[in-house]
Amino acid sequence: MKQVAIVALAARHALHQRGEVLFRGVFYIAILLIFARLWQALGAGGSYVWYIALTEWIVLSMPLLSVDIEEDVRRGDVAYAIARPVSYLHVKIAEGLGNGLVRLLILGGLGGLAAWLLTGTPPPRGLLLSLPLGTLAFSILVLSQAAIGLSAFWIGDTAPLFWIWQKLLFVLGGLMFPIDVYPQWLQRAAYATPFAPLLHGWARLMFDPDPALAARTAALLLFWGAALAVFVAWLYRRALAIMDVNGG
Amino acid sequence: MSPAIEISNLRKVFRVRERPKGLRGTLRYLVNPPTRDVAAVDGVSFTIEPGERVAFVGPNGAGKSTTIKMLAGILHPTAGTARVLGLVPWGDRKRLAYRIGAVFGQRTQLWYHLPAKDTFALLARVYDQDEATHRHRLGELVDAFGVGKLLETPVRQLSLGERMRCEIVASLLHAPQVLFLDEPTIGLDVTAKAVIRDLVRDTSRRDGNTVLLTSHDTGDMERVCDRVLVIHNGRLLLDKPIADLRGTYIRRKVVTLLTAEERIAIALPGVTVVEEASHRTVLEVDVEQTPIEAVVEAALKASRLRDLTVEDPPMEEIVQAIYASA
Repeated sequence: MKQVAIVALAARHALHQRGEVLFRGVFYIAILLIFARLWQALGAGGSYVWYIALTEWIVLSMPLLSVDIEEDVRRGDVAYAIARPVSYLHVKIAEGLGNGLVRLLILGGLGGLAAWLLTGTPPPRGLLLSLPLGTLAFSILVLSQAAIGLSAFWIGDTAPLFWIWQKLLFVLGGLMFPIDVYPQWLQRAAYATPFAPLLHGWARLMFDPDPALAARTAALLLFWGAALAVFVAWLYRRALAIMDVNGG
Repeated sequence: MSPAIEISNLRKVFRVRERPKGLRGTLRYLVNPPTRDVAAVDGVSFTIEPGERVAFVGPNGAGKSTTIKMLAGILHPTAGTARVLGLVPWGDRKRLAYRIGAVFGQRTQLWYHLPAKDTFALLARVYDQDEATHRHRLGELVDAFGVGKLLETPVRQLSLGERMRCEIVASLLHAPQVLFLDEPTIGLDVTAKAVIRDLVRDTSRRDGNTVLLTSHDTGDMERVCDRVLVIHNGRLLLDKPIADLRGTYIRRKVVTLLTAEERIAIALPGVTVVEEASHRTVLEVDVEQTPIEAVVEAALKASRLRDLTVEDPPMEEIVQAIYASA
C-alpha cells in the first residue's frame, strides 16, 4: 500500500530530526519530575505519575501537521502535489503518522523509564489496556491536525485555531490532571466533548484497569475518529473546490 | 498518431476578492467581500505532437502556470476543451498522473534528510512500478544523468545542480509520455544550467517524450525546445519554431569584452558599443549582420582579450518585441 510506504519513509526521515525529539524529551522528563513531586506531596499513588506520563507521551509525540499543511497551502504546493496518483491528504496524514511513530517510540521509551524510576512498576493490566487505545487516540489527533491545517484554505493563518484546539484538548482532555478531580460542572462539560476520550478516557485505565471501561473508550474513540475522518474528507473536497476557484 | 496535447479555446477565470477602502469597506469585506473576475487564461488553443519539445513563455502573470495546471488536471477550466494523451485532464486526473511527469523549479519532491534513492523507491510504489521495472528504469536514468555517486548522499548535502538532476530523474522514473518543466534551471549556475538543458533534450530525443517547458531564460528554450508558444494576458501571441524566433527576434546578442588595453575599437556592421569603461567594452551585436565568431575574431586581433561573455537579451525584451510586432 502506497500510504504504508510513505509512513515508513516519513519515520526514517524523522530519525534525522534528533534535535527536536531531544528537546521534547527533556521537556517531558522535566514535567514528569515536577508532577511526581507534586503527587508525592499530595500523598497520591504512582498511578497518577503514570497517568501524566501517558497523556504527555501522546501530546508531545504529535507532529505539527497543521503547520506543515498550512505552509503547503501558503506556498501553493498543494496544487502541485495533487497531480500525483496518490491523494495529497493521504500523503500528509501518512507523513504525520510516520513522523509521530518515531516520537512515540523514543519518547515512550524515555517517559516509561523515567516514570518507572520515579514510581516503580506500572499496573501491568492498565498499561496493557491503555497503550493500544493511546495509539488510536494519537491517530485521531493527527487527523484533527489535518483538519486544522486544511482550514488554511479559508482562514489563512491556522495558529489561532490550533491554539484554541490545543488548549481545549489540554483542559477538557485532562492532560495534567484526571478529569475526575475537576468540579462536577467541568467534568460534565469535558465528558460531553470528544476531548475526554482522546486523553483521559484511556489514560485513566492506569487507575481503573476495567476491560468494560476500555471497551467503552474504544467505542467512543472509534465513533469520534470516524466522524472526524468524514469531516476531514469533506473539508478536503471543499478545499480543492476553493483552489479551483481561486487558483493554486 | 493523435496529438500529445490538444487544447481549444481554453479559458480560466479566477474570482479575486477586493478589499474596499475605509472602515465601511472593511466591514463590508468581512461580511460579504466584493469580488472581481480575472481571466488568467483567455481562449488559448494549440496542439503539440508526441515527441515535440515546446517552450511556453511569457511574463509573470501571463497565464503559463494556470494553463499547465489545467493540463495536469489540477484546475478545471471555465470554458474550452483539452486533451492530454487522449484524456481529459480534470476528468481523468489520476489516470493521467501515471503518464505525465512534472518538475517545478522551486519545489522539491525529494526527502531532505534522506538519500535520493529513498525518494526514488517511494515513487516506484506511488506509481505502482514493480521492483524489476524500477531497477531497470533507475539504472537507465542514473547512467544518463550521471547521478550514480549521488544516490547514497542525503539530499541536504547536494548542490542545487545535483539536486535538480535528481528531481528530473524522480519525475522521469515512471517513464512519463509528457513532461512539464516549470523553470527547471532557476537559480542554477551556467554550468549546471547547460547540463540540465542537455539532459532534458537528450532524454526527450531518446525516449520520445513530449516536453512543455516554461522559463524566463531564453537559453532554456533555445537549447531544449524546437517550438515556442508566447502567451501574454492569458492570450496566445505567437506559435513558431524556435529557429524562426531566433531569426526574427533573438537577432541581438550582448558581448562583454575584458581587455588588457584600456580601450578598443571594433568596426563591424551591426556592432555598436553600448557601454565603455576602463578595460571593459560592452557591444550589442546584430547576429544577422555579423556572427558572434567574427566579433570574437576581431576582438582577438584588436586586443589581448582577458575575458569574454555572450548574453541573450532578457526574455522580457524579446516578448516586448513580439508584442510590438503582433
